[in-house]
Amino acid sequence: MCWRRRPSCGRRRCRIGLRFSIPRILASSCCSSRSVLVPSSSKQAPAVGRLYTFDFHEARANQARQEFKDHKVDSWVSAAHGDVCKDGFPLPEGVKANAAFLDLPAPWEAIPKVKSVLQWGARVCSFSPCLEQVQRASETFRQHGFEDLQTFECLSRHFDIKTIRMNDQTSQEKSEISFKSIVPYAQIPGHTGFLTFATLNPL
Amino acid sequence: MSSEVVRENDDNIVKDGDQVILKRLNNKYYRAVTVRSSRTVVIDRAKIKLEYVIGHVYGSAFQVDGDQVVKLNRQQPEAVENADDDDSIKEADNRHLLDTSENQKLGKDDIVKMRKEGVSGEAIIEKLIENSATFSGKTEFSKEKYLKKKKAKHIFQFSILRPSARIVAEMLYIKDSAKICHLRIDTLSQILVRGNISANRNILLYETVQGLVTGAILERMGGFGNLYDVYFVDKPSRVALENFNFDKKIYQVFKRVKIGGACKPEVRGISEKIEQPVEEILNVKMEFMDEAPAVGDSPECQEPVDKMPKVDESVVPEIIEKCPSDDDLLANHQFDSLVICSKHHPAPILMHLLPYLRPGSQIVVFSQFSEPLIDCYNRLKELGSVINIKVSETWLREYQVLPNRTHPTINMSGGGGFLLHATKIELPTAT
Repeated sequence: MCWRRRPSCGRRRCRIGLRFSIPRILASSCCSSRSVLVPSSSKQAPAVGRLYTFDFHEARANQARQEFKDHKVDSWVSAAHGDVCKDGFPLPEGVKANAAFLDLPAPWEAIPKVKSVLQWGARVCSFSPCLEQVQRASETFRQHGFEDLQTFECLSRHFDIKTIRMNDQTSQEKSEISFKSIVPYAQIPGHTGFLTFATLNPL
Repeated sequence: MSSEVVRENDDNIVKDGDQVILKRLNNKYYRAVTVRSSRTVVIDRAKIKLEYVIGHVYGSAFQVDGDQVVKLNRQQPEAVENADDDDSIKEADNRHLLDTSENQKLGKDDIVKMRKEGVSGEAIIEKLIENSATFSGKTEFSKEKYLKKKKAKHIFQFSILRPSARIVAEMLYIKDSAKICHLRIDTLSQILVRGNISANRNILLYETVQGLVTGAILERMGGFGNLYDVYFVDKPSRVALENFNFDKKIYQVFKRVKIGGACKPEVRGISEKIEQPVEEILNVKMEFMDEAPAVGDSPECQEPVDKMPKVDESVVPEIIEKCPSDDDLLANHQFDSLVICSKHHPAPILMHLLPYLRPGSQIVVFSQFSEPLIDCYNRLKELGSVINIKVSETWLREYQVLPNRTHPTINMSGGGGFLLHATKIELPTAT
């Protein structure tokens, strides 16, 4: 499966991978980068699970639908066009989600809407680059009865493996000490976004 | 709105015999328990009769009230105060505060006496506030923090959680991270994603982290595909698997396979590239096997190292004989993923299991230390049939997000282990 890969998304893709390891049903709303995000979660919901995705950009939703068809996952992954902040998450009758992922500029608008389609114990993740968004989303989660809030920053650090040779300056003759070492890259992405997780616990 | 939405189903209810995770509220304390109507669990002097939790929805909160366990009704929280309102910060500060033990008139003995008399946790906290010389002068935030701390100490509230890889991983990392080689939850996430772990795949696994990785993989597979959990000499413990409360159907993909020690399977197609001298192969093997059986491993694996059959030097060379006790099951499968996560040196294990992988498969190796992965990296590079070899670690920081009190948490994990990931390819055959 090939997809364009934004360097930022690899980390968050991996990070949310564990939180949503048993999504029987997952509702996901992204305004961008879905092509990167969904292949990760789409591995996790085979014959017994479903993944419902929503995008307010019609062309992107159509493109996503075509990609799911091309990758032969369209039997359990759907792409709908709609504004979840205004109109909510239209799931089939009687269906409730075990997990939800929000990648929106104003997730606090979608939180009350997503609550109405969640099972008890459902875990929600909101991804936001700015702390103000994180603060507002967390406040909204708490106001709507979500608990076990956790906010993380996660960065992946890659290393080169190099043979390093150093001189032994105390020796009169030219003497070298060499060893193999991991060497971090000089510059790495310092930030992509914050991940905020919350659980909808029963009353 | 929430009361009108039907969220419960049979799947969500705690039943007698379930393996659950008991989590203390406002506290990072977890405990795995088996729910039995006749059982009482004692944690920190609180007696929790498990019969009271049966029939409630997973995630429900309870409070221990003497001999009883009472279900807590979660209220909708009140609107959080306006973050622009700075009065709460301006009204008090600690310029006159002296931090001495004389600030609190009640001593430890007084509190123990109250507890023995059956005074409730809430009443003890009220008494502590009454007898505190400094409480009224604290800022609102400081008061909130004080109350939260006292509540966590004197009132036992907990919730019953349905186990999942996330919760079991958090529990084990907090309780005894040394036993899981300090495998942190984000590194575990990376293993699952980099290894392409999902349903309908054939996965080869070697791990000695109590079964945490095995459970996480099984959860993802959902009962579809094949998971071969291999071991060589010592049979690693799988005690954490019990915590997952899996159905039988999840286990139908799971097989434990013992691989014989002396031989390696034929390395298909690239044997001419391996020119390791026989002594080196032997030495590597002996170093690996000489390590003492790990603490916590299954007690029945008592095969001493010196009983390992000697390698037949004349046959060892580049062409390596087939392993006599190697199952057909392993030989006939072309595995999609290899995951190694162990306190033992990964390099010999990696080289031993590599031939079983199909071209295009993913390799993920975890180690608490970077040096074993440098060794793996060099060996894989020499082969030529493994590409995209990367070594990485993840940096994880948690934040406290509260109005006017948002900051990273004061303590954070210093390390969660290192990962090597790569892809095996098929080399074109020479014409």
